[in-house]
Amino acid sequence: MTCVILSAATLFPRSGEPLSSHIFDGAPPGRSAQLLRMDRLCGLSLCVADRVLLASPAAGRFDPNTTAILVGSRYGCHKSDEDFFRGLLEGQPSPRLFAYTLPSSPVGEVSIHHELRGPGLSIVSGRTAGLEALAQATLLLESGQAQTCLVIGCEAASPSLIEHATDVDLCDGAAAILLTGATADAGHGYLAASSTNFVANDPAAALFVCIEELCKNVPACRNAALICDPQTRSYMPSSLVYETPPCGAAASIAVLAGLGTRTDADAFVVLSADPAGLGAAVLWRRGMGG
Amino acid sequence: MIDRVAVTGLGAVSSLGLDVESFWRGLVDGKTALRQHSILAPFGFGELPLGLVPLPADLDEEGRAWQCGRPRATACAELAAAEAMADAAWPASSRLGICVGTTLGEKAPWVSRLRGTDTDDDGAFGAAAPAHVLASRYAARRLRVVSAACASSNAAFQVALDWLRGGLCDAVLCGGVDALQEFVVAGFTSLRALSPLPCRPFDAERSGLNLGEGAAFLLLERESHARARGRSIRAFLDGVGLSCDANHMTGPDREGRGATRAMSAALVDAGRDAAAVDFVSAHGTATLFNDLMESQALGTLLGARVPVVPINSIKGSIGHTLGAAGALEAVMAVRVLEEQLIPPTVGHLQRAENIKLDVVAGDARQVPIDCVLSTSSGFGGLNAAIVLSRGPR
Repeated sequence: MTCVILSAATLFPRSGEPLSSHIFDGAPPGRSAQLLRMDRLCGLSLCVADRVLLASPAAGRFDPNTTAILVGSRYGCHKSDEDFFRGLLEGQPSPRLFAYTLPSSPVGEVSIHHELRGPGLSIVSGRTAGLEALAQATLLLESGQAQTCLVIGCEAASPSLIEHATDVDLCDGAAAILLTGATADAGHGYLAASSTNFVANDPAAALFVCIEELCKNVPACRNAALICDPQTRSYMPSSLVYETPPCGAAASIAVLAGLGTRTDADAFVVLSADPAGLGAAVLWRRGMGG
Repeated sequence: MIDRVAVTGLGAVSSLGLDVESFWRGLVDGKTALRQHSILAPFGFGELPLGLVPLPADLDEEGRAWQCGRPRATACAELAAAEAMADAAWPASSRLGICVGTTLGEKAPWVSRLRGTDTDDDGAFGAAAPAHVLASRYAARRLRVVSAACASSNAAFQVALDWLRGGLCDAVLCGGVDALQEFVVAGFTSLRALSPLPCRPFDAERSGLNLGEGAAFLLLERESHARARGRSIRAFLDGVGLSCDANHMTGPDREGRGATRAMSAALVDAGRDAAAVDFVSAHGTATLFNDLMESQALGTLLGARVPVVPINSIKGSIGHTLGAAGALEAVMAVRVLEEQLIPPTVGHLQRAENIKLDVVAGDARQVPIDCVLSTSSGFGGLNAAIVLSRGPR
């Protein structure tokens, strides 16, 4: 199924930088205070959701009751888990923080603040979770379970993650895309196909299977350039690199969000991989206004 | 002809035991595995009724799993997955997908590191850790880890159905896992959501939930595929529905509108209507708001039939197993369809006045059942429901 990208946005705040300075101009009044009440992961997600849902031309072009929210994150709520646990060790576990110790918390906050009542879930399989969320969104659109899908990739770094994770330079970041299956002007392009695969401990092999699958299903893939974020490139050296900060599963959504501004190709296969052996790929094609 | 999604294998690990049979017999016999655990006293939880999985001694001797960061969630997931794969006699050469629902995944090694405890396991941690182990073991071609709070494993069934209907896999090992951790018990304690006594779902005297842990998996495959390899079909997974309340981060919509939408969507997906529902496996956490919300939601969905459609909750037997809850309830639902027998709601003595449901309590109830609706709801206002139907007789 071909999906239309109605709008897209990215956000890469500096570590510890208050999100209030990144609030979208058209965000509802009181957003700054609302952001202070939630954790960093939810705040990042809400800020990019504001941008894609309230930005023209997306505003008013979707039904909140049939709009799904899919969040992809490699580390999910790990930062909030850590903040909560450090409070527990000090004898002061915070019930407010505990509410955010779920990878699906951003789905809840975004649904509440934008009154979206369609399907909602988070995907936390690995670095590929952003593109996996996109793939899942296309399936929801295809089955009719949703008419519009808000796909968010987000990561919030924490001290223990930076110490232990393989993404040693993991940073905060979020990116969002609003997708619909309906016919519409595609200012930010089309998603023509997607593929996700697993080959234990061999992400390069998983990526090859993804590309093979895409080429089999959509012949136009053969003419598309391969492109990925810097951390995926080690598994697919022949691909172009779209420079994004190292923000885990948000990076591949950020790549997609930025493709509309590139002028060097009309079609890209966007790639993402995880060291555990996950590979994900989507075929992006330029829209009328892209 | 529609190629339905068949259930051909079951696996379950719960506080009632390490396999489906001990889980099912315990439920039917009205047993509870909720009890106090003195080994947890050093953590301040010695007085709380909890449903801990009786893992083999090498995994859980004297609470070392808690003290030394041993990966309990992965252990539970491996046991349940192995049972489901063996039950289905799954051939290694086929295209398998794995989808796991969880809220925590594997937390134990990480918690031990933060605590500064000597840990005897430096294993992987994070939401995806147990799923990565399963995917490697069974040479899965696709893998997805899904989180939708306490509706996680029901939400995972959405992925499995989409993969199978789309022909992306021959079969999907789908389920959920969550293991209890100091982290999560302390969190629910801070929210004052835990009952100091064994929980009483839908009861007039209910006072909160008890936490449990476990894992459950169903081997799902297209009906044609199951028949082609000569496997008997235990049940059909016919539909899944998801929704958001868009209401509150820790409390449900008081009128249950989100839960109703998820259940309705699951029935539409299954090509059924509410009149077809013979039994409801409720979320039934025994909190004041959840149980009332479910009563309202089922009232809206079932209409005049609400007083006569039997429901149960298994939280009084094994506690609230969080991300594993939907999968364990799905295993129970398959056994209900096979045996035409509904296990009782342990802890339920007197129905609350404002709850208008037919709660099965006391003894198991034998009734004809062709269609089961199982529902879960969680923090963030996330809801997921599934529809299971009886297999060929």
